[in-house]
Amino acid sequence: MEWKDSSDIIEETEPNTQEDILEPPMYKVIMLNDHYTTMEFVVYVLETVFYKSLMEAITIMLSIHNQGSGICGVYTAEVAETKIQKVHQMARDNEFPLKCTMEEE
Amino acid sequence: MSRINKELELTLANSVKVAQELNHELVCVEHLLFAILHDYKGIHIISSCGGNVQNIIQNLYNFFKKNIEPIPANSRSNVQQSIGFHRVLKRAIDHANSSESSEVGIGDVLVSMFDEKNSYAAYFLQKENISRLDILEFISHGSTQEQEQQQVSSQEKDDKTAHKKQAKKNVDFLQLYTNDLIKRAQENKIDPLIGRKIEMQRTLQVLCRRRKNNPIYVGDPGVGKTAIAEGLAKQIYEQNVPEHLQDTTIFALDMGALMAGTKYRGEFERRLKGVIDAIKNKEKAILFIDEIHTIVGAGATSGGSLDASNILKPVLSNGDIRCIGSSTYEEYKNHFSKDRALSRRFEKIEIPEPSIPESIKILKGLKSRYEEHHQILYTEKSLRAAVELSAKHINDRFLPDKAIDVIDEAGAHIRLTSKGNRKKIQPNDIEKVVSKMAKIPSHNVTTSDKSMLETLESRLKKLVFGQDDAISALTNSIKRSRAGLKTPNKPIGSFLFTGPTGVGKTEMARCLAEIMGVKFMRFDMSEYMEKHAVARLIGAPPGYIGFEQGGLLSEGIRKTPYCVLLLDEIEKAHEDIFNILLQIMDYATLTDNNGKKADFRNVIVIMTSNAGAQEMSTRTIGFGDSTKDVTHKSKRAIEKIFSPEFRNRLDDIIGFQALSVEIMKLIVDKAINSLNAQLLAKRILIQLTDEAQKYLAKQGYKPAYGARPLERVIQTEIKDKLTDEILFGKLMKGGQVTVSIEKNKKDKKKSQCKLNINSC
Repeated sequence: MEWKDSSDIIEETEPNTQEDILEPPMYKVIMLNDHYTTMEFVVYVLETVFYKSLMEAITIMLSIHNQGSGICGVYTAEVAETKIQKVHQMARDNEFPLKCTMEEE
Repeated sequence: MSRINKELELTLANSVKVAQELNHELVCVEHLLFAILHDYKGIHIISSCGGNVQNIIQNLYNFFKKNIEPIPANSRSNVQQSIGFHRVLKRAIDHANSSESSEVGIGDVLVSMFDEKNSYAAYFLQKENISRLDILEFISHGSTQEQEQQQVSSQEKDDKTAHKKQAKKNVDFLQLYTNDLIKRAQENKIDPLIGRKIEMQRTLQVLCRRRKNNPIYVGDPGVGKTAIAEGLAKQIYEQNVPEHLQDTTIFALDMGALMAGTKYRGEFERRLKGVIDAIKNKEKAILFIDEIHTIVGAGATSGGSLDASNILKPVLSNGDIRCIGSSTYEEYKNHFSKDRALSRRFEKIEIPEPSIPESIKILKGLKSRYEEHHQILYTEKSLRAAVELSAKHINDRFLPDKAIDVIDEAGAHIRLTSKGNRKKIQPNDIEKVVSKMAKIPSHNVTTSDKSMLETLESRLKKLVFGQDDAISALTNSIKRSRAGLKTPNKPIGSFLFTGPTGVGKTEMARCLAEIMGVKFMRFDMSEYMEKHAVARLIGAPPGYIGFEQGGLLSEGIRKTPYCVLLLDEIEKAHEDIFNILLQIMDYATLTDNNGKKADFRNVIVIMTSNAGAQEMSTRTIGFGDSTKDVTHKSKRAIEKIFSPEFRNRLDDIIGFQALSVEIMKLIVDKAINSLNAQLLAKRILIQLTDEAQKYLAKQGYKPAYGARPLERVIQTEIKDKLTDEILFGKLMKGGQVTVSIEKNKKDKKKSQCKLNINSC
């Protein structure tokens, strides 16, 4: 490929010349408590969507239950958004009002 | 309805594969970008917009590692597309639909990527200074209008980003292809500049001009052109320059780096242009191009096409950048000044070779650097010796470079051989180094030629017999010049040797050169009998073949300025040659066709002539002292041949006497000695009886031929007889030969040599 041949010099970028192009933030996915969604379903969601182990999932579920909300993980905006949509889809399919939000870290 | 084109289709599939391979749950915009960067079209777009593909790929790798967790190995789920990924594709298709274009390509997807505000893909692209507009312009108008596009984009962008883009490029080009001399000065890597006040003054003056503020140093290699540029950097660093030049930076162009790795036509030019633009945008910057003649013709395919110097021209004349060049006389003349449009933009500053006292000063200034390096001290005398001896014996190079080389090598030599015991360098160390560098016997290289002068006369007398008057006249005038009593702008001596043939005129000149340890240069004037032969000595006139080569005499003296110049049988030379000799004897310079001057101040000019010999052999009729009459007659003959202005400029006309029998005996001894030296390897010794010696002396001398017949007599009488004995006879294993005379009683003239051979 052409670029491979001509890549003998790698330009060094100067970090201080690019102050206003900020690195995109990472986002926390926060799950909110409600009184209808079952604990089992929350644990299931945490396991399948966020790939938590059973123990982790139970801890997060309990913190949602006790404090009103819990952090499910930190992702890039795009991933966070997709995961939230996935959670909402699963909740709607099972007729639970489970809600997630994302928050800049 | 717009269709996704084949490239994009392939790229989309690749992006999914990337996510799969990395064990990612979702295919994100970043995966898509990664796939695009491995597509030919994608690379073309990104690199044309000024992005570095490798950088983005590297960034993406880091991002995948750091910011996206891979899914646990045990879970079995399919790769899904993220919402962002969908959005990007949808936007691209929508846009293509609304603009009624038939297909969606990679470019459209890239544009759409920029709208994903929070994505890393957009961030990485922006980091490479690629904006959405850049890509839009590229996919709409293509690469043919790159130049315009850049202009448009920089106009439309706000000033801040435009400035930043430039700033980034500055750093790159200057770092990659130039050396910052001020920085080197800061790190104390530049040797101090000593002297050169006038040249430096002129440099500053030219640099302060409004237009065409470009000096070019022209001088022989090794005289210190680069050192002046570096010295300027040092002065700027020490704030020792006029206000106008303060805080200026000097960038030395690294030609090697600029050329290395250029593969495609135009790559070199692009780099050079980049450097020039960077310098142009930098306030107070000077570009230093060493060996500037190399840019003339660099990169040109054939004569007349655009080369590197043409890139420089426009910026040079309007004063946009300041440029210092350096070149040697030869290359300046052959390459640089031929490009008149380029050379008129430079102001030529000639850097002459420093004189011996100046060079000594320079060495004193540099001494500490070399002392530090070699851990040794240089005495002042050794520095003086280094300059003087290198000036005298190393002829193809220039001061101060050759003298610096000498002290450097002497330092290295002492350090290697003495194992740290010696702490000082003495003149005789320098002598040894010079004799090695110049490949001449070390006893010839000596700082004190006083002892040589002292013994000159006696040593000459041992080699040339019977010409005591001539020898003392010659040595006296050499001593006189060494004592500083001669006029400074004349050769050490110019002599005319006259006398009959075969009495040792040529021999004397040769011996003189040998004893004084200088080169012996001989021109046989019988080769210069025609008018046009002058051209051989001082070079052909312009338009003739050989114009560029210079003349034999002027080149020879330029190469070995310390020599004995023998013009044999001068009376045979054409009159015009006398005319060039006049100025040599008077002002000790000879200018050749190229305007180069040969310096004859350290030359001993010896001319020999047989003029008067004819007259001497004719017998006078009448009474009176015949020898006195002879000198008188030969004088008259010389006056007849050589014009008064020529005779006037000679230091002395030295008459050689005809040889007497006594002297001939000495010459016979000398000849037998040299024959013995030849036969030493064969272990043969030849001895003469007194009779034989006398016989040979008589036979070997003819008033008309001088001592030359001796050689012939020895050949017929001794050598021929020995030949067979040496090859097949008694002397095969060596032996002793006594030569005696077998007298022929009837006719004395018919006696001949008899050899008594004792083999061993």
